Amino acid sequence: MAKPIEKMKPEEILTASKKLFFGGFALLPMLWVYNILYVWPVRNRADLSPQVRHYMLLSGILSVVLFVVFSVWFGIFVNQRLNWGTTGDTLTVVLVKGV
Amino acid sequence: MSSPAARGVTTPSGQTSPFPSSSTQPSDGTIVNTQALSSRAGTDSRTSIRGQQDTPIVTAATAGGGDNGQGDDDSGEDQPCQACGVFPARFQCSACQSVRYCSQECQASDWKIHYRECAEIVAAQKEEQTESQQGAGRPRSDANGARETGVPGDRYSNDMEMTSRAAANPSRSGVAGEPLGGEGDNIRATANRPRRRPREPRRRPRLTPEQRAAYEEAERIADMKFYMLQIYKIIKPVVVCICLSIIWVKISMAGSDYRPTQSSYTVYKESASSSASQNFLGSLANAGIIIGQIVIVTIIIVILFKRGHIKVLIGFFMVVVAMLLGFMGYILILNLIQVLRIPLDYLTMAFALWNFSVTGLISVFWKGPMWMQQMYLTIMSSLMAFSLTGLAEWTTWMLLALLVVWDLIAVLCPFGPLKILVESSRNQNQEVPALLYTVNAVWFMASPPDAILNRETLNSKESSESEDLTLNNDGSPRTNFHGGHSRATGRDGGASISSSRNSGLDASFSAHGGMSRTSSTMALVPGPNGETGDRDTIELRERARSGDSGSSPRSRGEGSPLAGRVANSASGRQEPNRDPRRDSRETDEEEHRETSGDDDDDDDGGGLKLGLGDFVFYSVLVARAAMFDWVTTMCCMVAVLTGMNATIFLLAIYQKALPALPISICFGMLFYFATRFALVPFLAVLGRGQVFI
Repeated sequence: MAKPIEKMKPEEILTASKKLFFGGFALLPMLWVYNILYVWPVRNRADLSPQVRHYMLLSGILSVVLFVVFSVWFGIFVNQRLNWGTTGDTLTVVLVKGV
Repeated sequence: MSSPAARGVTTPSGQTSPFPSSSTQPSDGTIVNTQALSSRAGTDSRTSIRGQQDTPIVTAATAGGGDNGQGDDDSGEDQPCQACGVFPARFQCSACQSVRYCSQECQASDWKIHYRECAEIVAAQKEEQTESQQGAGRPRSDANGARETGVPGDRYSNDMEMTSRAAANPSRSGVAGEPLGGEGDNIRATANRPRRRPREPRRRPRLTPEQRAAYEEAERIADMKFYMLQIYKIIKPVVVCICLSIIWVKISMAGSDYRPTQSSYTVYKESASSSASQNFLGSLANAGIIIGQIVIVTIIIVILFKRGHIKVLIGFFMVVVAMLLGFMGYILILNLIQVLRIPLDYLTMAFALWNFSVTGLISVFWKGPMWMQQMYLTIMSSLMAFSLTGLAEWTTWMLLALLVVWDLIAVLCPFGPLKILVESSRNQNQEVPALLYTVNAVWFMASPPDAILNRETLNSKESSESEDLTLNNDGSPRTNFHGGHSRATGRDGGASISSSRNSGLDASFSAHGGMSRTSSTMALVPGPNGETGDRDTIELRERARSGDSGSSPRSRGEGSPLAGRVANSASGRQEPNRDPRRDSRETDEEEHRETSGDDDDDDDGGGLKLGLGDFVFYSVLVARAAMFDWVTTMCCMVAVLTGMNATIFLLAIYQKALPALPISICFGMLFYFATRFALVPFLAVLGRGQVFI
């Protein structure tokens, strides 16, 4: 149970936000979303370092980008997997019945 | 009491008399008052005394005044009498506390002018209080403060004010001078300052036995209300978890070829052809193996904890959580995509699972929004429960029955592992490492910094085990510091009277299991701390909440004012607002959290913590019922929740560690079999006969 962010000092918030942001590069867009959700309640705090807002903004942009990339990939996969033959079947987790 | 004097005058403390500046007992106020008045306005004193007997109007100290007598002294000197301009203005308007007078006569004469701004000020103060979130409590208006202080006259005089205001209204237009009104504004502005000063605990006189009894009674009531709120809060995630499990099971069963994965631990495979006795013995063996694992893991955890290998425990819990989220998530996804016929590729699935589990790990063990953590814990429990539906039917019921027994033994026996765990956590001042669902964030800012650090590390551990569930009320180390502290406060404050109830409703449940096995043992654990201490805390907290609509920070020092409130209510003057406020409170955890933003306040603690083991095994029971029929599902759900409520009530009564599983599981099993063998056939007949159509 971590301390609620409202009670954290600005430096703590900055550190946490930074860690979450850089963690997100390990193919973890959820961490970016998490970052935003986490810092959101205190985004308007006066003593908040401006860097935190930068991290939030970047997190948002990057997570959207990654999400779009994976959505596109998934769309391609769903539409093309039958044309890919064995490759498509290998990629599929559970072969869908009937198709 | 229709005279303007009814609105009450309070003397800034310290000035008027050598008496203790704050007083719980009306009699003190009276004495002080009399003195002051007789020295000042001799003629008036008689009437005012009489007035006080009815409703002590003049209070020796307001919250602000009592808390920082010196500060008020200064400000008293700054500020002349509002009516005549004389300097030692020792009384202040008890409603808004922004205006001072030299005597009650002066107040009476000024009331015609002051009443309007008085109302404004009070309104503004209230607004300020409710609106400002972080700072909300800090600049807590004295009007409220005074109320909390429980100076009995305060609230009353406020009420009186309302009436007298109406009375004064007609005369106002004639007499009141505009210039004076303007002046009043200025004064108001300046007079607000002293209010923001930090408060210190004050001393209170000892209470008579009758009063004490009355307070205890009032606290008992408040306690029960507190537990009820806790039930409301804890029941939501449990319901969510149970519903999720039901959904997983129902979706999986919708697939024609759903075969629950048999656990590899089971030595005996049930088959339709085997006889009841074969099934019984076989399932007993299966369940015994699982319980044995649970017992062993529990004991290992207890030993590790006693030896202080907290890091090992945390590491273990992290592995368990990661496995649960990743592996069980994988199994669930396989089921879902198969039934729903979703084409999914390994890339996307790996990506999603990776994100899901890493985020879960971070939210559970590191930092994150509370709701996120709660969400993950709930989902994890439902995953765990889903994985346990793979057990054969007889085995499941046998397992649940054995768990009840184990739970009772572990928590209630003198050498039960969980009991030892709780006790050693109390002795070592450490949080029990376990996976807990916390209702509220509990932060006791008052504890020394190092304590906080400690706690942080501990906390992380605490939340770890995949299956250890502890329902702690406040429990644990944190509470410790805090509990002690608040207790002290209470004493200093004199306020606290009685209460010694501990927040002890901690149910700690540990379900340890190897990864796929869960073990559960739940214990309701009393806070490691003295029970008394914690209880006080809760009390105070509770009161504070109701007192200031939940938004003001409570600092330690406030303990006494809060207690004062108790006095107030005990004396039969219940504030009307109290209950509505409380009600509203339960819905806004959010608000609490924000509130808790105040540094000096620990507030929103006192949360009940529910061990994940409870979640898991409640869900297992209901999920098993869901595999039979919707009727059994719903009956079991209601039964389990009822059992949980009963457990929490018992907790409130006994104030000690209690096993949380037995009642719920017994209810659930009873209702399952009753429903399955009586209600379902009955409904089937009714349905065939179209009785109700």
